[in-house]
Amino acid sequence: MVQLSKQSLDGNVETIILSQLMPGANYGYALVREINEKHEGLLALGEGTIYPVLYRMEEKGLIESELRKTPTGRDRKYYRISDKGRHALEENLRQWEALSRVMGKVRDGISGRTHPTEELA
Amino acid sequence: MKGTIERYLDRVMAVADFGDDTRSTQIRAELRDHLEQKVESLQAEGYDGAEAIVKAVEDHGNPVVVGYRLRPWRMVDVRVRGTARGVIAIGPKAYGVVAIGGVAVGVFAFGGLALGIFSCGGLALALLLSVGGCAAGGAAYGGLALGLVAFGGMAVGVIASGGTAAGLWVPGAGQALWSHYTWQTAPAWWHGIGHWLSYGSAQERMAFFRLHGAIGMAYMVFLAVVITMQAVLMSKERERVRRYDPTLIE
Repeated sequence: MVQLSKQSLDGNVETIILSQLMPGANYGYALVREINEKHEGLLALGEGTIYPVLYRMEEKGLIESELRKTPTGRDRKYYRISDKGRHALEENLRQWEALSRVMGKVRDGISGRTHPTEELA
Repeated sequence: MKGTIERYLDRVMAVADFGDDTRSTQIRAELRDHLEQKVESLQAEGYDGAEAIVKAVEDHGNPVVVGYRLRPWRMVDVRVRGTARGVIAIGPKAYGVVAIGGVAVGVFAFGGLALGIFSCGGLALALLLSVGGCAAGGAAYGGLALGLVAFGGMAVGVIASGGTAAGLWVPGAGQALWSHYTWQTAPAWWHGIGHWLSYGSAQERMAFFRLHGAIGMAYMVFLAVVITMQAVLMSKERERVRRYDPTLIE
């Protein structure tokens, strides 16, 4: 499996978090666990670095949060995707699909070309 | 268990430096909850108590990195490590309206490498005015100056003036390394300034040196003020962080 570069991942952390929240509300630690399972290396600078991203997304209105009681009586903050977040996720995925198609054509163009030395042989 | 986690959180929150206590308490509680869950999970995997705590804290990330990422946006952002962002940003790297740092990017940028609309620094690149050891931009003034209008020890530009100058128009043709057009054909607006720089007479030469001397002195004073301000504010920030934990500064 190709290891994605930090630059590739950094710009898409929000999209990945939004997609993780699509099935339902979740809290920080569970999100980190799921992200680490599916997207190894995304939080290379530490699990704690997800929180600044979550707070930024909350400020932008992409996600909303609420406190819920755990079975042990502790307060735990749950995040859920907002309507704005849903639209943003759909838009981001559309952008990615368009980019993916373009890159696919680039790749096909390169692999379809014959190298000059091959022609001589 | 509490001790190690609380010490780690102290360091994170010291760097994050929330002004608002309520917000700070909420975020601290959320990070604590995360770390405690992680410890429980690691213990379930077979780590003993102390090992689980150390690993949980390690996996959470460098407290300086986590802390700075948590730091809320502020008008004046002073950092001793990483990148400062604010209306006024001061740090090793700085992005802001006024940016001061080793690498500074802003409308007004001051630094070793300064990029902006107006830039001052060792290497200054600016859209309008750059002043520095090596300056490039619309108008550039420096040891080595490159720009539409360039003044300097070595100046290259559409209009250039200096010890060694090359350009389309260079006043004082005798001093010029290369001038594409004669000075008489230079734009009219430039003639007024160029007159001072043409070294035509001893009086004009004196005026030239006075003008450039005054600009140079003003630049040095201005830079001294900026550097002093940067040093004082960064020292205060260093002291503030050191009060929580000296190792954060290492």
